[in-house]
Amino acid sequence: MARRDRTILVVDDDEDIRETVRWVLESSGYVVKTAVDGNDAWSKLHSNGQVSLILLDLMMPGMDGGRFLTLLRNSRHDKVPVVVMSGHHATPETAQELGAEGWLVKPVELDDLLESVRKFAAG
Amino acid sequence: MQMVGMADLHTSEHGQAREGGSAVFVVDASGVVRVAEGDGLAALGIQAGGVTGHFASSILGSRPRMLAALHRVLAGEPDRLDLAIDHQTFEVRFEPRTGGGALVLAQNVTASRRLRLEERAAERFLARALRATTGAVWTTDRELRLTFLQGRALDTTGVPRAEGMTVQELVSARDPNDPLILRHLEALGGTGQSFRYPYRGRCFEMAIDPVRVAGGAIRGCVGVALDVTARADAESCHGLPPEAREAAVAKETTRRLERSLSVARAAIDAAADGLLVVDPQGHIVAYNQRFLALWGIPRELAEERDDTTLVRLVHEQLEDPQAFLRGVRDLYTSHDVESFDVLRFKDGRVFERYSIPQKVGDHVVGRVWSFRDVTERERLLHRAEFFADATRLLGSLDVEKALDSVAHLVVKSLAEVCAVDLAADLGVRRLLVVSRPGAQVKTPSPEPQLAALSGHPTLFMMGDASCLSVPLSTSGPTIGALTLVAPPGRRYTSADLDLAMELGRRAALSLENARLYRASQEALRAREEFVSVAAHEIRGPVASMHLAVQGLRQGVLDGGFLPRALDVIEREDRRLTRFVDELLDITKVRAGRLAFTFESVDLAELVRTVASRFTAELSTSGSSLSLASRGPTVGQWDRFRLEQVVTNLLSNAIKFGQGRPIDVSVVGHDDLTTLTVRDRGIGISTAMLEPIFQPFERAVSSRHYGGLGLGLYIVQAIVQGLGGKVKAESPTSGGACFQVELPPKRSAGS
Repeated sequence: MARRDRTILVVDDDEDIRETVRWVLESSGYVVKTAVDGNDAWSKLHSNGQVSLILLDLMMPGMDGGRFLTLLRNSRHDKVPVVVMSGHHATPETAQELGAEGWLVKPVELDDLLESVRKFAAG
Repeated sequence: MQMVGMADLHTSEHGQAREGGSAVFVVDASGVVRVAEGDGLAALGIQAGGVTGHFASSILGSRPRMLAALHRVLAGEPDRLDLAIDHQTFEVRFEPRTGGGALVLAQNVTASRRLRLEERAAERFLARALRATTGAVWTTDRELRLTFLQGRALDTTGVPRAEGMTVQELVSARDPNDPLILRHLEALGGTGQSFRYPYRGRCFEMAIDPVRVAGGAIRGCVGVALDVTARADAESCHGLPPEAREAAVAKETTRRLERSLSVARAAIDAAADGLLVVDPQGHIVAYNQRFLALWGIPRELAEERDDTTLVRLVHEQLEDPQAFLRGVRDLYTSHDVESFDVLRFKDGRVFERYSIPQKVGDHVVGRVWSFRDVTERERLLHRAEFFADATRLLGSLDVEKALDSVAHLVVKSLAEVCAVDLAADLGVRRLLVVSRPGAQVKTPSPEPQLAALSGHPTLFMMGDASCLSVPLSTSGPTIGALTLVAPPGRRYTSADLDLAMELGRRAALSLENARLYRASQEALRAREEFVSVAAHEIRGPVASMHLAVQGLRQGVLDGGFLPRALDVIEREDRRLTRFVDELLDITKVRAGRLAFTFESVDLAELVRTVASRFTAELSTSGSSLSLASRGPTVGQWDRFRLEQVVTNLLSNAIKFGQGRPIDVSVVGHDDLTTLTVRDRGIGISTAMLEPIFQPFERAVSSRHYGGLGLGLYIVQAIVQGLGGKVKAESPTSGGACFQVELPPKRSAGS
């Protein structure tokens, strides 16, 4: 499957993060959608059709990452892989507890980001 | 041992007779021996008859000490020497002769010297032996000078032990006809005597005999005295007619009995315990003052000597009179047993009661009761136990549970009802009430507790019930009240009030400890969260810059991204700078070093400038911002600090505004300028309206919203530094409203 067929949903309340991640992923051939919190992500997920991977921040106003992931796992989108991307010191533990496929601790190395996306968005 | 000594003495005397030995020299003025006689010459190494006409110096050449003495005596100076020759001792005397020359007399004294040494050893032995006797032994010389005196009688009579004292001096009256002197004189005359002799308050049986030397000559006396005072006392009645003797015995017996009785009575009266003696029929035989005082018995009643009357009077004072009566009855039927029990009084006193049978021989003739008031001891013991339990219970950090347990403890031992009230904003909040099962008492009315809440312990009556109320306080303000209702029939005393006050202090201490513990835990949690949020706040901007730089450097992003990447870096740089400033401000606020530079500032203009910096955020969030101003809006303020205030408030309004409209207004009056920032977002709960200004506090979870929770704390510090105040409101229509009031001019104190 070509990368152009893969849509990555970036969920983060920090606009600069959303944008820089979008730049590098789009430059690497992925389609990128963004959402500012869980609620936004939820509606984007329903309106944007197939999503190959969700990059999910944890601490966000409105619906936070944890709540969103719990909802996701109990929805028809439960098979969408999720990589938690947060600056929180307990990111790995939280990601595992929530059943995420992977995690990245901010600040993220570009190579690690691209590798995670390659790995989990493979379809 | 003494016999051996005597045998040695005889042997020595024979030895002296056998050995004998003396010699006489007469030497003329020129030193020539004129006479040399005596059986001791040979022992001295001189041949009899062979020395006459010779110079003494040639004869005595081998005896230099004798020769020296001879020269001295020829010069007119008499002398005396002891010479030891072949294990024999000679006493040699040198005496000048009238008309010149000298007489030398040598006497063999070997046996007599040994005898004297043996005598001294025997005397020392005798002295040791006599120290253990109740009597005395002495010897005298012919002048009745005491040469030896020993025995414990010296101590009982107080005889002085002066050396060279005479028998006459022992007799205080110095009466020449005193039997002691006469008997000694008779002994010197050769007649031994035994007689009874009263001396210095004691009575002695004495024997005085002559002491003879070899040959039978009397050289002194030997006396032995035995202390027979006790026997003499017993015999003193002998010799009287039977009736008189009987009367004398009866009189003496009575005298002794009276003395014994007075000792017994004094001992009873001096006793710290109440004592009562009754006969087997229950008649009072004896009692002491302490007994009457302990039981509150009038002396006249005690004088009636009827135990039944007394029992009736006292048993009503007791908590369990029936048990008391049963105990008394049981003991009257079992005469020969000891008993011990504790009597508890209705008024709270506690006595220990102990009784033993009074016996004459094996026959029980009565019973001795002893009563000890142990109220104070019991009270202290109970108090110590009570506080040990209470302190253990109050050690729990679950204070409400601890106070409940303590209230149960109080109800168990002190009260019918125990209530704990805490001071609250609107008066009193009843924390708990614990009552004894089946208690009929009402809960106390609030007034006394209010007195206690203001720090005043109170004893009061509620109907028939005695009550007390004490403050729960340590050194600080009163935090509550502890109220007790006494069990029926009990009246609280100042001692109870003291005990309750101490309990109140300990309970308050426990409450305070728990509060401090909670506060410290909360501070710990807030700090942990602060560190976590701080990490998040730093990692966010760094993450953006990192990805932008790495994307460009690795060629993932082409050159066309460079301007946008620089925008990101610049923005995030500002964010980080602001973050660091905020941290530094916190340090300054806490150290009281937040500095202000006052200048003329138009607040409405300042708000417009700051708002313009939020264009991007407003656009992202979807919130619109309206700005209105009215009246004079210029004042003497610190521009930079005021920008911080407005930035924080606007930032919060956008962050928590849920994309809804935000209204900002500046309204100026002569003496006050008010800035209001109103959003229609998630709002603030009433409980958080004040704490939200504390450091590390936030109205919402940090999981949802970033930020250190320091913004409003800094806002408040700045506003207060400018002489104003800030408050938060949560309008019923929703959202949050922050109002900053600033005096436009610096007050004298600012």
